Amino acid sequence: MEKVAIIGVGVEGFRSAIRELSYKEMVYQAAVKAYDDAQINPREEVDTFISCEEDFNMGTSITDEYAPDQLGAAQRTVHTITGDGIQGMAAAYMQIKTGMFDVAVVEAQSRVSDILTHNQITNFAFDPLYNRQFDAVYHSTAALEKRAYLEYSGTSEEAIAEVAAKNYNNALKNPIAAYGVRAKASDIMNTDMIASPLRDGEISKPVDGAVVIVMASEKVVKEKNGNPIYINGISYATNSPNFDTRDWQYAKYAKLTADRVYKMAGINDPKEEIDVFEIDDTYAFKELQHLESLGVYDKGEAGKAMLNGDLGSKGSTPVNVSGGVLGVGNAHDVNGLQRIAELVDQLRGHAGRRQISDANTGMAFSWRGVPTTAGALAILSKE
Amino acid sequence: MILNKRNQHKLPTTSVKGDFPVTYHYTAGIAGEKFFLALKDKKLLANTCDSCKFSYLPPKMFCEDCFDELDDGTYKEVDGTAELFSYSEVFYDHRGDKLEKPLLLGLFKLNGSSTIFMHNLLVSEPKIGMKVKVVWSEHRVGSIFDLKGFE
Repeated sequence: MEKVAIIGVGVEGFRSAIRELSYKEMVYQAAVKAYDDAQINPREEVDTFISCEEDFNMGTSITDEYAPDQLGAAQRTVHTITGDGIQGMAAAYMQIKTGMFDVAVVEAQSRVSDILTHNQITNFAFDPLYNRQFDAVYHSTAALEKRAYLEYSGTSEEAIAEVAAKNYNNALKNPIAAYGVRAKASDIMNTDMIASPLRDGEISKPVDGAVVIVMASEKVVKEKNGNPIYINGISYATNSPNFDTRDWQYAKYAKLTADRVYKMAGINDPKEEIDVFEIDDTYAFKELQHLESLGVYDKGEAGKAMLNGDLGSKGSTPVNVSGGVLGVGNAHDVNGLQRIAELVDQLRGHAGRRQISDANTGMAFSWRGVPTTAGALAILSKE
Repeated sequence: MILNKRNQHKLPTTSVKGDFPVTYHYTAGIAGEKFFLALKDKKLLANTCDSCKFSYLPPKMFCEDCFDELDDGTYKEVDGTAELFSYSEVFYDHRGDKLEKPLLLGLFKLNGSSTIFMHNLLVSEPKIGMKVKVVWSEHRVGSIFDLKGFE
């Protein structure tokens, strides 16, 4: 079966606020970089465009109507997915696999600094009859889950603080990261308790930014002879939207997704077969919970691996050398494409001071954040 | 071609403020109606799928797993005893402002159900696995706050 590759990546951001550009101009900047990287003309050579955004986060109803022009997609085939960018890539992957499309463009953007009532909008995602009426910040749901995960896995608070410190430090080496800082685990432990046992330093902070990805069939890859990175497996899954029927201890959505993607990519042992890991860390404990749910580590082992140094940039399983969502910043539905952009840099050997030596294969996992149980996973490789 | 125009931006950023009233009423439905009306009578209802024996609290009209319809005969009252599954002391409200008094939320596994239920935790020293029991509000109107919480 014909392979699908990423042939271009463009990033604008990430910063706590991109005040000087409108959201359209922000996406345009990312798109121009992606098309230059792919060496294609979007007005002539792209067959399908997919944007990933949500009305409430964009501040307009029917926001998909506003997606085309800044992508070079005016009067072309465009659709919007209200989901993470990796979900958008999965749709593009399927479209290319039909044989009807050779070049697909996926875009995701965050303008969270434009939202004056972001907490309320996220709160509005809760079930109105059973959950929303409690006057609690939305992070409280992650706090309940963190405690359940700690109890289930035996992971220590220290390991979780080390994850946060690692990712903030990693971000110092990433020019697109907004929140790089020299931090120690003790600094994280000393931050304010937001909702016990969740501290401020463990919670990713919002950023503005956009990522545009150009994907192509092997036919186009051969014509362009560029610098392709192949998609060996991609999928997404949701556990349960309901508080009453979801799994609180481990991330079942990650397991469901991984089962499909490993089969697709022919992965038997992700820890041994994958070189670079970009794994959602919207909350620091999520990095460890996701690693275990994805089968990279057994239950309770990811925290120990963190304390042993295995998850560091020089460790056997480098996780979030980009800085992760904590270090780069929480760009909501762009978070998946943040992870993808890092893998493409790593696998091309363009990651500068973050470069992992002999990086041939990488995995990117995103989670849509509270209150969802939705995740998306992609495995990329040089071949 | 205009180079680096955005770096020459010397004026304050121009923006306009906009908001929009978003108001709904949410329908509880067949199963939800039964659940909320029973709360007025200090009764907690669950219902059980005949096929897979999974018990829902709050009850559901259909089973998520089997997709079977759960009819009137599947409902039963549970006794309101529960085990504490997780908890959080919350210091900020839904707007992100500091709460005057922290809110203690719990996840509960009610005896007679297979599900997790979130509500207020009314104990001073919470511990996962501790046995708790429902506390009813004096004034009950058929809402989630007909329960005060669990102690």
